[in-house]
Amino acid sequence: MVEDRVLVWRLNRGDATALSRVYEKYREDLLRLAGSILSDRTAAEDIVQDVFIRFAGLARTFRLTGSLKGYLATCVANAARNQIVASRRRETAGLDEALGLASDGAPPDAWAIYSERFTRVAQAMAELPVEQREVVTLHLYGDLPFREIAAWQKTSIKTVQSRYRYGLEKLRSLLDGEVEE
Amino acid sequence: MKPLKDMVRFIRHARIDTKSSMDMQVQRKMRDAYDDSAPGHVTGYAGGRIARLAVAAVVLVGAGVLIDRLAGPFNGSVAWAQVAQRFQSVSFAYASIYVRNYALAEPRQYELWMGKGGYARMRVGSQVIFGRDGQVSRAFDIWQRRAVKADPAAADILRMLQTPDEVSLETVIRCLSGGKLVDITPAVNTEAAIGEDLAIFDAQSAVSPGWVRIYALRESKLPVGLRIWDPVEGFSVDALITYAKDQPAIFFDPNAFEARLTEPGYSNIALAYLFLKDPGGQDVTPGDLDR
Repeated sequence: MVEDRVLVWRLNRGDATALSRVYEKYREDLLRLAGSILSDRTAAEDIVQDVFIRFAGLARTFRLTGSLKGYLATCVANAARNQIVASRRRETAGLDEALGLASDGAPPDAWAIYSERFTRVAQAMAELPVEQREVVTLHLYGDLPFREIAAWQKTSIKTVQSRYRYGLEKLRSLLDGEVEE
Repeated sequence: MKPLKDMVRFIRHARIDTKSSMDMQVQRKMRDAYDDSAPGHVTGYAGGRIARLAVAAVVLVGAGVLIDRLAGPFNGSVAWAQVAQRFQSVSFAYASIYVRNYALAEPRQYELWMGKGGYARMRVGSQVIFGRDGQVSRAFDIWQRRAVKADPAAADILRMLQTPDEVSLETVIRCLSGGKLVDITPAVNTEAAIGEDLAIFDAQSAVSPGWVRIYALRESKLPVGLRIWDPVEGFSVDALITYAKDQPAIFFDPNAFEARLTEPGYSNIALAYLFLKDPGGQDVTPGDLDR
């Protein structure tokens, strides 16, 4: 948190080298977040890249009011949600096909290299309703507290907590055999 | 069933890695976006949009679209409509476009070749992009020697070539003037035309000091240059438009280009201008000349 404030302070004053630190610090979590919500690898990577570039364009005047990671994670989640809505609108084939939910192959020019475990997690996430997927991933990969997720989803904290619990239980039923003690 | 806390740990520890080449690419784009937002630049995404619109305006001058919008007397003897008509008889045009986002920035060059039948080819940085009817067909990176996603600005330019209503001189001026719609009246600038064989048109924003100047040849009635200049930011676009004989169809063929992409005998420079013939029909790249 303190480091983020220093990074933003440096960016506000024209120190471009701070961008690399922001990138290295949050790259993986944002890619995991997008990859878990969408499961469409190409779209997920495009979204994260776009969020980083947008942030860089705003960084000179950016004012940090909360967590930088939370801000970036919310941007990614917003874009992912828009992507899902857009995909549904133009969907003529099945939803899974349109969103690439069944796809676990990496395109040759892929940015991220998924571990076997993450591939399994992403596949299991795809089984969850979108709202539960958003809560689980924003909480676990975006470190967003339930209060902020509730505000973002425009619902109550209790609903968000329920979605989190139901989501985790569903994931446990799908992945239990793979979870070590 | 395992405890939920184990499930949480399992998810949190599901790692991914990234390719270093892509890391560098993304960070470079971040740096560009950051530099573009420097004080004195046209800020944020508006700046990007202005640059794209400005480049598109240059393209449209070359395509004769913008010229249609500048209808009116042309130094008393040549009308813009005549210029547009003359342009339509040209089968091949080339534009070298330099965009500078603010006064102290290095310009970025876009090279655009426009052929018959809606074919276009661009070079931006290390990318060679092929287009047809306003859509990107394929894009390749010469350094990486593989197909890539097209530079967004280049893709926009190709798209806008087919949708001139989205880009007009008025739109460019409106963006340069901070989003305010202004009336513009293109006027012949006789004082700026020192040579009698050159006609110059200026369009001045009513609410900002930004202006557009278009250079055309009086005799051939062809546009040869364009300058957009915003003295507040130092944002500028300079373009040189030239004409030549039509290029062979293979010049606009992405499949033919791709087939050569992985051949070791082709240097990067040769690939950038692969299959380009000069007006005399000669190959022009070092790689071609070597063979």
